[in-house]
Amino acid sequence: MVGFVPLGTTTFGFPIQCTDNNRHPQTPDAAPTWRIYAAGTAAALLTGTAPSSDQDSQTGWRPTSNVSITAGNNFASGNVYFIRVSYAISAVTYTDTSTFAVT
Amino acid sequence: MFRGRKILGEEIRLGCQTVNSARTPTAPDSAPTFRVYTESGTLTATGFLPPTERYVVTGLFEYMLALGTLFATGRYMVRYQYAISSTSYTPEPDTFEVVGGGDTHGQFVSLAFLDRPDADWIVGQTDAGNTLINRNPHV
Repeated sequence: MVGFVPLGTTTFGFPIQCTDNNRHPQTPDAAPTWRIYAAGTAAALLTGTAPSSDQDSQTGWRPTSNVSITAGNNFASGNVYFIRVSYAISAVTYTDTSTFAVT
Repeated sequence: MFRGRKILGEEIRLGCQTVNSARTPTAPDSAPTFRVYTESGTLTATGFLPPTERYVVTGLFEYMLALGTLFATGRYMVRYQYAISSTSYTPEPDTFEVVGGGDTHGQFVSLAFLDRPDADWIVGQTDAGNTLINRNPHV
């Protein structure tokens, strides 16, 4: 779980660390993509792309920031949301998931 | 993993379990490092994780990070890294949140009241090791 985010936050950020199947940090082939889902819904509420280069000179470190958790984006207080991150390393696709709660 | 919510002046527990590619607990080449970032990606703090129960368990490292002057209210991310036989590993990042209501000096661990002709004073020592003098305390 990433944490608790007040509804109306426009600066929400979550960590993305790209690793291979042995948890070795790796620079992905391209910028990771992320999708946020509400429980029980098939379509993503929000999608986006992580930074296109490694941040702070740390291999595979691509934290995302400035995600708008607003009612206009169909988020609601009291709900838990799922984040799915996807990236490729040497053409092999990897995914990570996490959650956060909106207060 | 979400490490929880703390106020300024408190400590947050950071840590990781070092494993090899087979997920077997393995002692790393040296102490794992941690890097703390704000929600916007600004590097805030760095350090090393000391071992926990080093003669009982293998590869468990933890550190109590003081939420002092380097921090403000907000959400933070933590990146860990260690090496085993010169190969780098990065465990799953952690997050934590600093909420309002605290002070970078920490909490008072002792207080003394001084009744002086010029004014009343409270002299206090915090768990951060600071000595503070406050004049004419009132409710």
